[in-house]
Amino acid sequence: MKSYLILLLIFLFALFQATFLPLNLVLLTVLAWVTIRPARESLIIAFFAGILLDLAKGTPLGLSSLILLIASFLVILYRRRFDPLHPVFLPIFTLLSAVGYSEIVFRLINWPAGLILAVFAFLARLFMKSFSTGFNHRGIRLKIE
Amino acid sequence: MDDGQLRKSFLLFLTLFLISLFFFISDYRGWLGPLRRWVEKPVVALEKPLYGINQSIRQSVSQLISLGKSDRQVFELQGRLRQLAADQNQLATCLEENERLKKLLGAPLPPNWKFIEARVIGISEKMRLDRGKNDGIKEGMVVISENILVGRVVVVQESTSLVQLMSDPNSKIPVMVKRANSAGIQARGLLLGQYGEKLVLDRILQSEDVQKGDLVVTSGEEEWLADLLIGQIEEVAPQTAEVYKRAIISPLINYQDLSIVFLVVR
Repeated sequence: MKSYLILLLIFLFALFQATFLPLNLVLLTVLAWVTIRPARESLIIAFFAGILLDLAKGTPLGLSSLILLIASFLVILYRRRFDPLHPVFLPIFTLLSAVGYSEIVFRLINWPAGLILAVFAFLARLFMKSFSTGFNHRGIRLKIE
Repeated sequence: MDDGQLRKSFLLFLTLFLISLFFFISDYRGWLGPLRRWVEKPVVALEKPLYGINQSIRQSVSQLISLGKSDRQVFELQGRLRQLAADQNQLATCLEENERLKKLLGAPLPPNWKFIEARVIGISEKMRLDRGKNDGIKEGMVVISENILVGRVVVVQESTSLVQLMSDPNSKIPVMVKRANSAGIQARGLLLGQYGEKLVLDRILQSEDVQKGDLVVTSGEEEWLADLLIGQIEEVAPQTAEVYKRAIISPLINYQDLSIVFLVVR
């Protein structure tokens, strides 16, 4: 239950995004959450984060949820086989998701904001690496054998 | 994660996806209107002071940056400059109108416009206003501030709306270039938005005389209202072998500083 408190932080980021911040911090938080938390919990967080973002930004309700759910599920599929906290994966996936999001919602390919967000994702990855428990390198090795 | 867990996750994903899709379609069709208005109210109430705080911080930072100058004087001068630019544009329009009226007596006068006042509650990719369908806002309405064009309404919700600013990279507006104290049009072109504070005026014929300080106003084509000020020419790109030349435009207002704007009802 405690982990759902992340929605408070997401709501705060959504308000920041709606009022002055052109960076999609909600997307970054959701993607970061998916990499370190259980799949089902992450999907629920992604759904509610999207609803909060749409309410804050005045975009059609459910649109952000759809995008965040798809992005989250792609990370879930990826992390079955590979390390989602790989230094290259999270920043690049964040960059592509952010650009895709702004193109779908605002018809605006915002590369500068996406690149800044990718740098944030890289920094967040360093921070999360110490908290990560989900990825089992040994298990992967056994699976290959 | 084993296959069983993945199947469960996929089922949850599918359920949430369908719920989101239902919300999206319902909101798009306007079925969620009253519910959205009710839920959005506290969110908008939180956004208004947050935007105010952001503006105060921005002002404080800019004051710190311009430390040593008399900020008040700068602020007043900026206001006067805007007023002068607006007056110059009006004068040029009056001169032109006068010339035209001399030739065509009885020509129709521009229609009377009405204005709806709106408060800005946020700016990121788009500007968000605290007026929506309930206040008579419609898509395509022009947004102005002090006779200066701010943008056009692109999304209308029950109690809020989103405005595409001039600086939006998707923004393309047919404009005219006018010179202060002279009648007539110096040039015509297409104003393009781009990231940052400056705008780009494209498609100016090489033969047209455009100089630094010239005013850029809307031409009135493509459903834009005519003669609304946008900015001043800051730099004209050097002549090249191409048919058209470009110019850099500095807007007369900083869109981030706006707290109240007006929507034009035709």
